[in-house]
Amino acid sequence: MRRRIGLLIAGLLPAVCLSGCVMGRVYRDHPLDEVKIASIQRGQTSKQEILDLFGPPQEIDARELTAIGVPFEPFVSRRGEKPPVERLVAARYFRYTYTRANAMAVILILFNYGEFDQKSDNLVVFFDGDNKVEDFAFRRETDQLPRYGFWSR
Amino acid sequence: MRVARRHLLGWLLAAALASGCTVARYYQDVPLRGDPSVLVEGQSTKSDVLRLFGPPQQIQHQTDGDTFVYAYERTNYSSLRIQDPITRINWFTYTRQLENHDKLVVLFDFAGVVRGVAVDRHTQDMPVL
Repeated sequence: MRRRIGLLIAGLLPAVCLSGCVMGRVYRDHPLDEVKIASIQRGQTSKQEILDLFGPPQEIDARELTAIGVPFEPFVSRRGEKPPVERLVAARYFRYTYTRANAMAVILILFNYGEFDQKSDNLVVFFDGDNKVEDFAFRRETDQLPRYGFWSR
Repeated sequence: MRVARRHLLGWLLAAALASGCTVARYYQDVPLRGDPSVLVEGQSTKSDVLRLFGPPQQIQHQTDGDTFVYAYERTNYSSLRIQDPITRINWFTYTRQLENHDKLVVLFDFAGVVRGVAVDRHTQDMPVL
């Protein structure tokens, strides 16, 4: 019996000794300053001020805003009529993001476990036709990343 | 007979040691917050949606207005592999990957008023393995 237990331990020992643990961290872009975000005011802060505060955004809504919603009549040449008026038909926005990911893996001989968790802080700022902030939303998600994967979830 | 059985056992043990089980998890973003049922079609506005759910992951433009997409994604992967200890040829491999997401889609008209809401939650139904 003792010999069998000894053999079992001898068999399991390399499985433990030859195992490994992998941890990885990914950081993309830089954290968003909540003090600066708190200074944004709807209807007052301009697009230029947003650029000054946060720099170039990661995403810009580049939609052409003149194609849809323009009344058909002005295209028909009629004397005395005004030129077509552009109408804002969709939100123009800037998006700022800060992304973090935590990776963790336990590599044993008979069993491997890996985990990859990615979260982002997001700030989206919408502008009206006068290039003033129409609305904005911020959400911090990176603080919800589990530090040691499975064990801290 | 005994020798043959011992050989067989030894071979199976070696094969078992050369085999392995892998479990992996992938998480993207965080579970949806807020209750979509509070949104009222024709009344709730884009501001209400932004206040309740935060910035959307995607903003899509449609011919009749914008669409906000909120999503939380999870993937569970598991595999079992049994390998020949000498030749390293796989005798048996079984893998399973389950990808699911929670998704909230809010449709607006040009005035920024909610015109449609769709919500789907599937990540909670995922089996452990």
